[in-house]
Amino acid sequence: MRPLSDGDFQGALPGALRAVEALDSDGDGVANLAEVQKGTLPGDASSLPRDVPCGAGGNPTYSVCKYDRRYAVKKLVVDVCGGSPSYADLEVFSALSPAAQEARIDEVLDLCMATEYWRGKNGQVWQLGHRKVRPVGTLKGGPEETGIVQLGDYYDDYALFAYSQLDDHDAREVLTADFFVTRSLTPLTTYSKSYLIPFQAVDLPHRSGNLTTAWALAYFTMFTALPRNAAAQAYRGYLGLDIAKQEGMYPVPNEPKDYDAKGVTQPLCTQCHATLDPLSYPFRNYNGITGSDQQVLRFIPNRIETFFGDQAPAISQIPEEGYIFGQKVNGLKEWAQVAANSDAFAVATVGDYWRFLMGAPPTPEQNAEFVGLWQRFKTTNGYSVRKMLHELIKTEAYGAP
Amino acid sequence: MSLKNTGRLNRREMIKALSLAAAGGQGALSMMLQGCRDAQLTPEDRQRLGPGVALRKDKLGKTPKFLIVIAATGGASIVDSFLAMRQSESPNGALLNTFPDSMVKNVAGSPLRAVDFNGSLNLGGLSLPVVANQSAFVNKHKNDMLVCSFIGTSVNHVIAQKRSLTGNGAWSGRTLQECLALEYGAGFPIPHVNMGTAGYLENGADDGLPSYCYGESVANPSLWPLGLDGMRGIKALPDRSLVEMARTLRNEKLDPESTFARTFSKSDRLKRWYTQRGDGQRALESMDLITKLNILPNEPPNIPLTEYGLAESPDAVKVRAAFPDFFTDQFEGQAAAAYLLLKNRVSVAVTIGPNFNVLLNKGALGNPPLAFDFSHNDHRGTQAFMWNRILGVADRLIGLLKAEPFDATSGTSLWDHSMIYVATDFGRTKQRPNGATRFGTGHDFNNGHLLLSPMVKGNTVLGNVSPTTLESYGFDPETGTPDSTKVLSNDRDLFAGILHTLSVDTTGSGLPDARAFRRIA
Amino acid sequence: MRPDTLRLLALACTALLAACPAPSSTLDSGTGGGGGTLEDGGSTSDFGISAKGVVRFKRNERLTIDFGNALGLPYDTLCKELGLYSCSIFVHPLALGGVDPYGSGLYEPLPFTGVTSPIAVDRVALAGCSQRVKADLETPASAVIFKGMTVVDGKVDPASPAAQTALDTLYKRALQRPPTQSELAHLASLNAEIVASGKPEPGKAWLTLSCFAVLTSVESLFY
Repeated sequence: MRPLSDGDFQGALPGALRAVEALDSDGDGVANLAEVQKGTLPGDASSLPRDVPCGAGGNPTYSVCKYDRRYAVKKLVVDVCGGSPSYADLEVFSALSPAAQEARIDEVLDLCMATEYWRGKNGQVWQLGHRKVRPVGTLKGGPEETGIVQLGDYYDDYALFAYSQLDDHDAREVLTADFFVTRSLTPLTTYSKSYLIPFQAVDLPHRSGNLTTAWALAYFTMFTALPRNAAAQAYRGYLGLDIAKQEGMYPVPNEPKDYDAKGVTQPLCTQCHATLDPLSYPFRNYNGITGSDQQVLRFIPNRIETFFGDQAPAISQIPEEGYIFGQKVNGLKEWAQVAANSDAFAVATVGDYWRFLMGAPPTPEQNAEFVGLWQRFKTTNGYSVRKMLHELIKTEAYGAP
Repeated sequence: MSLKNTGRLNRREMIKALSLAAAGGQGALSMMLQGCRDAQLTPEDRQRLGPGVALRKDKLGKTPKFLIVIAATGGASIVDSFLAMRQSESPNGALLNTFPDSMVKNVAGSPLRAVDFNGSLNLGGLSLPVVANQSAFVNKHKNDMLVCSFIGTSVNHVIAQKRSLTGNGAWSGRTLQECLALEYGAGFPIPHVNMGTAGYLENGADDGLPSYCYGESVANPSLWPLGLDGMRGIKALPDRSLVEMARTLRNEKLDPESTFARTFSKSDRLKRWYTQRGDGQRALESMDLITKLNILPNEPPNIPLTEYGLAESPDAVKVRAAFPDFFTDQFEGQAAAAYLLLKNRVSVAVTIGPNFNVLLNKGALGNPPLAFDFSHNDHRGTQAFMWNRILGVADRLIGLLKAEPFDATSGTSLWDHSMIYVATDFGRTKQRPNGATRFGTGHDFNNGHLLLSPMVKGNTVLGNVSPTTLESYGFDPETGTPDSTKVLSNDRDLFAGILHTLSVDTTGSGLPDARAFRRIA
Repeated sequence: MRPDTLRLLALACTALLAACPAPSSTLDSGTGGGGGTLEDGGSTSDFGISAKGVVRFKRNERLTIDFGNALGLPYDTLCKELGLYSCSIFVHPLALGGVDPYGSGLYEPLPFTGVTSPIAVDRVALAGCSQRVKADLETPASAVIFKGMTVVDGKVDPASPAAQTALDTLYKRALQRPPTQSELAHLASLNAEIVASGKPEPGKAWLTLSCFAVLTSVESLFY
């Protein structure tokens, strides 16, 4: 139970912070205010700023205090091409001028992003999609690696995800696309738009990227009336906000209404469900695997009334309008638009690649570089992952040993 | 929806190709490992980790305890098992998940109940018969059974799974298994092995523990032993002594002098690597675990063990007899591995459990899709089937542990020093359509958990469920007195109960004294 | 990635960095090629270390590719348990830092190497190195690393031009740099130890174990 209302908490917070800012609560030698400003935890002695100046000293191989182009290009080839460059190639690279080296780094990135290792089936881009798609091998449909119980072919989800991440496509299309993507090996993997592929049954006006694929509906909605899991998984997987960890909380006044009588108005439940339930309402007409073969995995107007009307007295009142980030949306497509255009989407997308290429989330010292990256991803780079990566590999965070 | 059954298992030609028939020096080793690990701790580490660590050298003589976590993935409902309610016992029986009176069995001399289910599981259009006899299990094991009511804090699978192991952060976010590894595991080569899935596979939140406390993840327990020796099973290699020379040269000369290693000397990952490949690796290899943990039989051409200088475990025959489907059913394979890990003093904590994948075994259903979570579609049948599965494996595992002497002198068995904790994500919603026998359920905080051990206060129920709502209420962890007003989360009570029963020193943790769980209070 | 997918990796790696215009004659030794100059005016006795200290384990796919490329062996035959099952992709993927999204639901790599990771790495390296040595000695015309080796009484002279060239090739293929004199001396001392042990075929053993020691160095496994 929360002891303070949101308003009381907000009102008292500035004074509380002022009262403790000069203290060193965790005894790590750094004042609370300094820790907050640098992004470390003032209550955890093991978390403290580590902006130690780069040490002096020679190093025969690495330029440890600044961007080292040879180090960066070798790392880049391992990261994106999958294997180390040859000695001969590194020697040629080393002999180039700085400007030529920088240009070569860009060329290498583009070449490596064309490899199967990067873009192919089960390649690195696919691997970034695993925790968004959440496959289960024995439940897979489709002609490849067919499962025992074929709920849906999640390779379609991977294909759309990969398409959105490659070739200067708009990354937002993973949430907003009204098309599907096919994959072919000719001899390397290519991804192509398609408006009609087998077993994808949601009609064109109601499609919204990986939110409405057969797999997403089958697995995340499945038999449930109000698809809370589908909404939460989309929020978590694509926006990086895990409601179960109290992230991305935008409680809507007078919610939850508990239309489906799951008991979510209990005090323990409302703190999450005041955000989650309105987040889920726009999913209400997207059917999982309830009903006949002609009804499953589709947009069904009045789905709740048709299949779940007798489950709870007020269940048919579930609206199609909902809320995301406190903003009212009229349906799932609008939900997807708001989500895709949000800062959270940009942070999550760029964060995925940052973690992939750095091996860890941004440190406080790297925060400025990270913020610049995701802000430009939204603006100057037009949601192109390729363009963003070209900037990322030029950061000190990546290229300084 | 029509669901096709191709009868084809996922993954891989190997499983089909591998058609299988039904398969002390310790003290010195412990000292070597103990010494290595203690050397890694700074005085600050010792202070932070608590007296358990500071006294660990003295505790080397302390008899270890063992924990097997069986992850009942997807949400195993306690009111579909040991706290089942008869319809006539509830004023709302027709609207709640109560059972026909005849299906709920009392067990003589026990507060525990059992559901003997004879029905079916609706798998899409297929109706699969399910016959489950929980009363046989309870009759056999009741004196080692403790069931406690549980009110959790999450209905998200992954979050709830992890919280079932951490007590919702009861002790710095450590998992039970990590606590046990910290207490007893320093002298064991791989103190904590984790064969779970999803949230059960995650490390706890305390990343300041010695690295050996964290789980070693294993995906395929039947093949994993092949990777427990750096050389054996590879043809035409130089003698082991020569390989050791090369390792020593690499570890003591080549790496320390390399520009790369010197440049990145601050790397925690490199430091961990140096530790992992040092004395610990040699200790592991010296135990011949590539043999002792291997229950694959020699069956050329698919399993040519002898050709590659390998052999099956001395325990292989009895383990294969207990778990004949060890290769095709991962859960059985995990249980087999768990027994061998404890028997051979490799681990003190092992996590096993089915995952969400469908399993067909010899044409019959082995695991429904989503395991217990298929209750969304058909609650009764799923719960009966999966409880049967969990209890069946637990029963056979207990049989092996009971038959295994703990040592040469004490007269106790390995089981006498072990606990099985059946962890689960959460409970299921309690409502059903009026009088329905086939219905779906959602996730619910309210549930209960099963502990099995000669060390627990057996034949015991702590807390209970309300006949009016079927929801759980708690208990006093010290006295065991049920408390119907205790309806908020009690993760800490269960967490403490398990640790205290296993004699883990929790000084400084703030955990309640959960003596109600212990046979010897 | 499965071995068949790895086979499709017609990597441009080996020609990747060279497939471009001719190099400029201007060099900047400080930040582009590790020319050995000092940084930041520090003392020549100081060694500049990375303040971040961040390295990453290559994990199963990259290790397989790098080992395969270094040894000139196909990825899917580099190491096979019981001669049948790919070590790095099928039997030990988790120990080598891989994922298992479709089976056990491990969607992201584990953050740390495991207790058994070094053992799995050793297995892959030993299997690969022993194949390479065997092939090079038995079919010298197509030797990749150990070319022109002369084995006398089962021994190899580490100071011979062929051995020196082989080690140079090994380092360049595995670590993308030549060996230092100190490293060559260490490997020569390994040979002496092996010979002194009296074990059979010391020369072959030395070649295999030199390969193993280099391939399982942290410089090879991390980046």
